[in-house]
Amino acid sequence: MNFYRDQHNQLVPHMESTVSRRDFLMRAGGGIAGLGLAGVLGLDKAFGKATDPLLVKPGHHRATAKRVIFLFMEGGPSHIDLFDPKPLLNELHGQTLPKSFKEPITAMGEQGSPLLGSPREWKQHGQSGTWVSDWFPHIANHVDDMAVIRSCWADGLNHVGSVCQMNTGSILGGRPSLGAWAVYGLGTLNNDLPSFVVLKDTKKTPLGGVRNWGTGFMPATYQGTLFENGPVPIHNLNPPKHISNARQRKKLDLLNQLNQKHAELNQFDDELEARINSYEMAYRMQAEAPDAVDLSTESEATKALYGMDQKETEGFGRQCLMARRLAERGVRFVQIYSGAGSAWDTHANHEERSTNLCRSVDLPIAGLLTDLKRRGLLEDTLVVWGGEFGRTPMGEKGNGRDHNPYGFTMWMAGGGVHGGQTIGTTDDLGLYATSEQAHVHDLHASILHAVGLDHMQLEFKSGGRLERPTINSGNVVEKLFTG
Amino acid sequence: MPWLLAVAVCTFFALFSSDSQAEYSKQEKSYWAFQPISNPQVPETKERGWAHNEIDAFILSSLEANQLTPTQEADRSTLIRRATLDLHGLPPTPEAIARFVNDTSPDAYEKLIDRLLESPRYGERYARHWLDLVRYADSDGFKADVLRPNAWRYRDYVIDSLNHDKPYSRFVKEQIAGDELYPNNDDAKVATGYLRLWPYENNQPDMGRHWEASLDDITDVSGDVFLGMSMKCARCHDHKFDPISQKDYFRFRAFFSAISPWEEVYLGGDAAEQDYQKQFARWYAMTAPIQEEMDSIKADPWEARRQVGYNKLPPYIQEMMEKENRTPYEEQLARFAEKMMNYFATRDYEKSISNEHVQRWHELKKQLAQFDEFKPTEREAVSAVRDVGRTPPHTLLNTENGEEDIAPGYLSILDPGDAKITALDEQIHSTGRRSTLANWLTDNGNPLSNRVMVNRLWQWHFGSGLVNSSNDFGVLGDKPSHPELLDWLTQKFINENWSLKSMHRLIMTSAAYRQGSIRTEADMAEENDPENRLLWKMPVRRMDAEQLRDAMLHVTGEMDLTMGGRAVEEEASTRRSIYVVNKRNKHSTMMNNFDTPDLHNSCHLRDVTTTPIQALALINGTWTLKRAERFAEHLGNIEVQNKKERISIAFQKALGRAPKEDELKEAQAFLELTKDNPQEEREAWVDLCHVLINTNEFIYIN
Repeated sequence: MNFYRDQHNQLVPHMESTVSRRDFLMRAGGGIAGLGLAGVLGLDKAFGKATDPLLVKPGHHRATAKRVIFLFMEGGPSHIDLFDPKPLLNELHGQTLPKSFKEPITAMGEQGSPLLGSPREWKQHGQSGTWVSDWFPHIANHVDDMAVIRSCWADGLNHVGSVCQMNTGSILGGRPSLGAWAVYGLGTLNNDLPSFVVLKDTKKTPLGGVRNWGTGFMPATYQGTLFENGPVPIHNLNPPKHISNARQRKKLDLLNQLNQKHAELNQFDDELEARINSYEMAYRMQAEAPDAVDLSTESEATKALYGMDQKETEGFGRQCLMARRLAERGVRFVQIYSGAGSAWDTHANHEERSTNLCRSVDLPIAGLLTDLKRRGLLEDTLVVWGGEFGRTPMGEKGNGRDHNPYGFTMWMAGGGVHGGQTIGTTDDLGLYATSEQAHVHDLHASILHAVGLDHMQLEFKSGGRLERPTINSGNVVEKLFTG
Repeated sequence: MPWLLAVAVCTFFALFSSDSQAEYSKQEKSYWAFQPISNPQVPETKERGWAHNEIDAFILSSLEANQLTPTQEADRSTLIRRATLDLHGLPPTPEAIARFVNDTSPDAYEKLIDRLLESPRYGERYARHWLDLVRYADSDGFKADVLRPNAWRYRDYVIDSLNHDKPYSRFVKEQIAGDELYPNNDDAKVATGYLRLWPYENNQPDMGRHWEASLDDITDVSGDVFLGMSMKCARCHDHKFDPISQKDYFRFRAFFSAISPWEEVYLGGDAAEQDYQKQFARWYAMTAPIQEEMDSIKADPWEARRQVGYNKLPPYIQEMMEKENRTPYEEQLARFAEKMMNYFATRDYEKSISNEHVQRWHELKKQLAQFDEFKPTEREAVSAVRDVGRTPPHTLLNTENGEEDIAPGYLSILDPGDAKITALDEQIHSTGRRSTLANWLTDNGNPLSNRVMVNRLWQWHFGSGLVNSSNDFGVLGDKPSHPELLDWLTQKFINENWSLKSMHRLIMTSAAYRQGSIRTEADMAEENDPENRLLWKMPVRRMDAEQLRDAMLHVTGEMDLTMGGRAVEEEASTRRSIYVVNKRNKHSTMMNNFDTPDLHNSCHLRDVTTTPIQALALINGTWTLKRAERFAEHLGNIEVQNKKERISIAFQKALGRAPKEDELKEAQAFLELTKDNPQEEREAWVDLCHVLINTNEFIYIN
């Protein structure tokens, strides 16, 4: 933590100094009239230090990633069927959990259920020999770019708390999401688009709703924007159809006239000018946002790369391709939900449901990695894959698996991640993380680290508290970046 | 037992609390917020003609000391718009403006403030400030975000208390310990709903952990709201900046640790209860055979569904459920578990009625329904709390001496000893801990709670407090800009028997409040005090979400001023925004875009963001467009001589003033373009209205 001394010579932890925009305008001598369109929401970046909350900031150290694409398999994918093979599980199939394993609290409360073996076929892939099951044949081709963390763990037992924690660090609501922290810490690279975009492949909403990409105690400026499917991704982006362009323009002109007069009277009030500009920015967003999600300019080959030519993979493929387009346009944080509304939650019919879900994301994710790589984007784009937790080795209702926050797998690729490695272990049944445990806070610290932010230096003052993204906890998983 | 100790979640900092009796440094002891409330002299000022009351002497003397002068009084139409939006959250009507502007009596402004304070619109506005602080919501949060059917009673209680100018001390006592202090009082029953505002998950089987989190939440929010002290840091370690030890956190938490949610609390007192029982008995007597048969069918499915809930409980909770003699703590968790099991049973038992009974069940239901006219109306239930008994559960903390049971106490720097717990009447099954706390919080001499509330009042009128960080009077917070004024006002507040309305009147009739917000003369004010901390002018403020929605509905003539009752939907209803449902897992509505609070944290000051998403909602959103249409219709129904007059009324309604000559011309030109086409002309009026409610002048308050 940095400190400075206040007027009473007391040590006070360092925070962003809030030079008011008014203050700046006066010093710059430019006055309100000097602001061009680029001053939307604040000041022209060329003006240097100012209080535009979305101004690009340098971060705390050299970033290895400029942006993040977080692939969220909502409901909890089964690590022991995907990345963490457990031969013992098949040997003990049908038996109860051996006494040497501590009986965990399970979400559904089934006690003493028999272990459920995994019928997957496992292979080592790439030069690194990373284990991937036959559920992810395409992703398996990218293992040399991936760091697989088998020893993740989380605090929550239920979905909503756990999804909340994977997004905000806490199982309780009220904290900013990781994407919001990133935007707060780094600013935006494109003023014409939201800098944190959330995509999803179903009509349902992720459990817990908007607070998963919300800002909690931080201003809404940093919040994620949920893109709706279809040609108009942002709510209210266009006027209703019955209002012609000419009519809209005429209205905006009159509005501008009235606002300019009001601003002249209230000179020095920077907020008024920012609001006038926000209408201009909204106007430009009307052009920029639909363009970002317009896939018609993509070649058939590219679409096929993402699986958009096949029914099963079309949905998630579309989201992945959109993520690439947003990343290209400077969006800092893109999050894509697979199975929004907890589809990966396979308490029953685990085999059949997971087969379909894995199939729906495997080719699209592989396509995204290929596409990012061939465009040179993978090196500064951090791709994160995972869910809010994993699943139990014990069965549930005979053919399902319950929640397992005690040990599960996530992987990261690109953005400075040292690929081709497997980090940490779970026990012989995949129930508890046993070595190099990586708590959600450690994962968040690592993601922030990649984009150049230090999780203990990134601070926001709320009430009387200095809040930090990982709740004053967590360590960077160094191996991710050193191999 | 897992999760019993809050320290379990505190992995980073030292786990052991230092002794709370530790010596405090001289600096800590002399810290301003812990000093007794002083009785400052009203200062002398050079300029004598400006002041309206004592507040102005304090403001002016510090302006003079900094070679600054105040801004001249705002004009009357600005004043009435400011005051009405402040106290009512609504813009004034053209009629109200005319009445005030044409009132030649010397106390016209004072009379205006009195009128505004007498209106029930006042409570509806100021309740919002309080609800923000206590993170009021109409839903549980977490996954299901279940609506709380009785939450609105607490909201209405706040509105009503404000409208009746209930002394703030009484208001605090009712919320913290209404059940102990005023056990038969309906207001007090509803008020304890304050202690129920934490997020709740009925599907969380790990009750112990949920309960710890809930108690932490109550402790944190109560520290923020009543003490203006950020306790939260001290949950896991001694506070790094303020003299609050981890033990202090648990001393404060211990005041609340005996509570349990209570649903079986009804309004109306004994008479209403007897009446209900009588009616119920009569109805039951008429329907006994039907009910008995239904009960026998219901018994098994009910038990089966409860069992589903029971099976989800972790073994340590199941053990507690099986016990005959539970400790207070076990009783709390068992009650929690019961609540969950009954929730599932109520929701699902009908699904478990076996095939052989299901037809008969529905027949019986129909038969029973035939007696509905004799069925007593449901009692008015309250979501309240009570203590789980007269013996409190332990409040355990890991200290250097091992696990310690912490007794309730105040911040040690103010009072290091254990709190002396008020002895309660034998009949009251409660520990007395909360009434002890409530009495301390409302003590004349409490240096924190009284100053904190006065500072909030100031903030609500001026946009920022004398202490900017109104939820944090600690070292990381801001220093008071006018410490003597803060103390003078605090003394005044106590002397006026904690009357909020007296304080509103005092503050709003000051010359400081009546200043203009536009500085026409060129001077050093902007340069010397760019943040306007010394109040050399009235700051310009953006309407908050509620003011904006209400103002739109008000000027279009649509507003439904029905008071109270269940929450309504934002878009479908035209009632005041205070009645709009506050869903914790809310979606992006117009109001959410304008910085409504997140409903999980105590919100002492709304953010004011400026985003293109807001612009899109106002210029493209269908809700706003509909308001423009209604506004145009409303104008169309007013008898006028000519178009000019109608334009003028539109400006007066929306902006509180007549259009200037050039604005009138612009508006006429805007309408002229379409003069030969009635459809287009109608649309042009809608567009003009739409523009007016999009202007900065509409959205901002001078």
